[in-house]
Amino acid sequence: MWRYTLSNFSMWFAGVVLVAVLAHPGVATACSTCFSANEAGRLAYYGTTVGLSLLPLALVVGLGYWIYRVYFKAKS
Amino acid sequence: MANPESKNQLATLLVILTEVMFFGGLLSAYWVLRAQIQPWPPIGQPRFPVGLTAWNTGLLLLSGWLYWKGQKSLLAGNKKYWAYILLAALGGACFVLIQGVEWWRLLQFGMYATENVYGGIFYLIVGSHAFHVLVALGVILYLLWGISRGKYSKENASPLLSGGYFWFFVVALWPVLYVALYLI
Repeated sequence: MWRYTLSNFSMWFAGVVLVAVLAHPGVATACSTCFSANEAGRLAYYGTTVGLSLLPLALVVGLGYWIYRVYFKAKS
Repeated sequence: MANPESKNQLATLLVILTEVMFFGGLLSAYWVLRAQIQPWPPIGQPRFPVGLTAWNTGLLLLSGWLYWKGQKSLLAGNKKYWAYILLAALGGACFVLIQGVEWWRLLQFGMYATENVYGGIFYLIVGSHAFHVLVALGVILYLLWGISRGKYSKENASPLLSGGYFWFFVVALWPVLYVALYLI
């Protein structure tokens, strides 16, 4: 019963969001190099893209090491 | 996972990982915006109080050290460990107070978040950090309440260690923000 009600609500909510988005189109300028094409801006954009791509990997490796260390300590 | 205590700390670490990504995103936005606006800071905008904030940074680092000493004392079986935790909380509260004074002065100089990108990104990043300090202070106050009821011991130190993870994150993050926003 609960799942049926939730599903109905979800579909209704998704429909409202879809209509709201389609009814208000706008220009998307999310890319920082789209509105400013200077060299420093491009370099900062590429640098932060690389940084933010590598950061999650570093975090996952760090977490894996922490889990390994706790497990190893508990076993010994 | 090895034991329930480790689970508490793992959960705290997972929260911290999301926070690292959050602040990583904010700092990336700052660097991209800054690279596009010349000169930086924009003409007519006030400079940030580097000296006062340096002292404030030292105060926050001291607070982190005090918390660490409190943890060590608890694990060593020292009953007076609560004094270190209390002093750490006071140090954190003073940090937020001094930052509040700094913000008030910047507002007096006419630097508003809605004025331009310079003010907007500054208040967003520093404000996000201050919010995290306040949340961490709330956690420490909760821990102090637990300490007053004798809830923690050498054998049951996990909540203090988990709270410590979050406090150390907040403390370690600030020098990075200080260098990026105030010094470079």
